[in-house]
Amino acid sequence: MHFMSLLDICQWIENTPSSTALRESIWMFPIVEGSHVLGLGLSVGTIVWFDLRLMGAAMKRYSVSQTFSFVKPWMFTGFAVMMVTGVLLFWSHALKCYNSNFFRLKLVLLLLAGINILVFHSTIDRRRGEWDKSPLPPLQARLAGFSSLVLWLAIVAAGRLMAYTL
Amino acid sequence: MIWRLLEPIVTWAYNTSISEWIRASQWAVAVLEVFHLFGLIFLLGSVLMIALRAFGIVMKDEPVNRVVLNLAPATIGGALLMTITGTLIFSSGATRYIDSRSFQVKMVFYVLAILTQCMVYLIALRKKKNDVRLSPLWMVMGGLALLLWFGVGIAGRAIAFI
Repeated sequence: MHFMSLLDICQWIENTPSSTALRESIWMFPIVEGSHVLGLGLSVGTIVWFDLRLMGAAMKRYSVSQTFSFVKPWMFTGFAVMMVTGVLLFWSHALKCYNSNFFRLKLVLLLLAGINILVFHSTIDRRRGEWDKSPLPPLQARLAGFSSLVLWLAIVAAGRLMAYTL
Repeated sequence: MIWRLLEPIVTWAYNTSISEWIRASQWAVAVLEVFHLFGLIFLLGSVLMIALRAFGIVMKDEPVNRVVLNLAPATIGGALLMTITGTLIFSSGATRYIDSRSFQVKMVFYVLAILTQCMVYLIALRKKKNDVRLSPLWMVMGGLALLLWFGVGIAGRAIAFI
């Protein structure tokens, strides 16, 4: 039995009629790509405020929980848009993504951002009640906010630089 | 058209040494575009928060003018970063960009957005400090600023395609 490698899978994706149609479409591709770029305003544009609050750098009048409730619906909507449009963009250029070092870096950074969230939730965030209202959260929470901010900016950078290697 | 009147400036910008340097460099435009997006994150993110406050969705117990002024470093910093990187990217291909319909539309949106943003700050500085009530003026200004800045973004993305 022959197992498909990642390369085979990406090749197969790029050869599907749906991939070709999206890649060559006059309107769909620009709309999907434009939504992916402007979705930044909702997704990363809102998560930075939660990150800055965790770092004790902004929104200090509000508790961490309140700040999260402000950004939550827009942040989740934004990230849903980014996921859907991002998968479609990958689908349209699967082989080029496979060969792009910036795309590989972006996937690693996304994984790290996910791990950062999981670690935050399963450790210091469990005791949020103790520091929720504090203008300057404990060091571990500040570090989680700072890591999130740096990782998301790096993810944006890797995504933009992909376009120059594609 | 007004764009023709700008021709001497465009030609000058295209021939500056910094413009030539950006064109010759393999990475300059890519790096400038990355920082252009960093600016977008802080500009659009803060303008969105201001519009949400104006419509009474978030930070209801804080006066709109204080939210506007508290977020000003992010809004103005983001707009400045976008303007500086945008000007440099423009200069590297000035003669080509000036003829792009999308770029022309982007500049119209940009001027309107800047004017609206200036009015937002004028109103924020003049308003009574502790007024947390919903105000139609703030809804119009907050919503308009959000629409215009997103308009700049949409027209900007269209430069690559149209």
